[in-house]
Amino acid sequence: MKISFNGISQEVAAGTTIAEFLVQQGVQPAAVVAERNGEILDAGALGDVLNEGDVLNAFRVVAGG
Amino acid sequence: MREINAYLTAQQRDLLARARIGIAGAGGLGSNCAMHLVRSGIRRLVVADFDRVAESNLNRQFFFADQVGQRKVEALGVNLLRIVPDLELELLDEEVTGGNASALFGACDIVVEAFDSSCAKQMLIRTMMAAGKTVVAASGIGGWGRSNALQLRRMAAGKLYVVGDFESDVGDRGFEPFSPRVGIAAAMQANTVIALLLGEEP
Repeated sequence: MKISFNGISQEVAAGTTIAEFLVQQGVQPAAVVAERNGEILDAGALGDVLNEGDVLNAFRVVAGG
Repeated sequence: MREINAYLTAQQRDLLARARIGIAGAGGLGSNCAMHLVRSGIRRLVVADFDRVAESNLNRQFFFADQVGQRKVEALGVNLLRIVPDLELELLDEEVTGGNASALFGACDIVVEAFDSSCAKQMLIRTMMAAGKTVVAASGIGGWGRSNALQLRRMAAGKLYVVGDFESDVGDRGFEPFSPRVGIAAAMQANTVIALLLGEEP
């Protein structure tokens, strides 16, 4: 199935969780803030399964200011 | 009230003067962002930080050498009042946590995330999103150069704006914060707050 991740269409196996997908993308789930379909996800929601057509965005939260 | 923004309309000045802005963290981002907001016509700020001014802060933060050792929120309050003497400041010398963030910033129209750790940043963003607040955050702005890499990203259907370079590996390089790049990010956060308050897409 297809989802959008940070503006780019990606092929994802059915049943993949958000956290698993982020790891596949080389992103540590604990270090990001992510939104699915316009809603910011709680840390606990990263275990939810992705659905066809989901719009997922995530950015690494890095200190530095 | 003194008026230092003669080129804004009376209605615009009123919008900015009535807004209450939260500043979560009075370090490189928060102290400089607050300075820009006050110069832009913001009069009401809620600033929270539990730290004291250290000598190492003077390379980028809006403090002065004779303020080393002082509480950051108190020193920042003094400095902001030197720009505009009749501000309405709520200075909170305490740590912002998932338990108190909603109460501390409950009266704010917009909250600026200006923390210095990934955990605290995530906590504030998630807590404020759950409370329905609009947040202007920042991520990954250490080092120097790469000015064009700093961008503003719109998330959460316009409830969250994030300033950063969004380079996947920026955190791994151990970039230390320096004044120009932190200052650009802090100014971008303030710029975003002003645009949102004036009803424009930042």
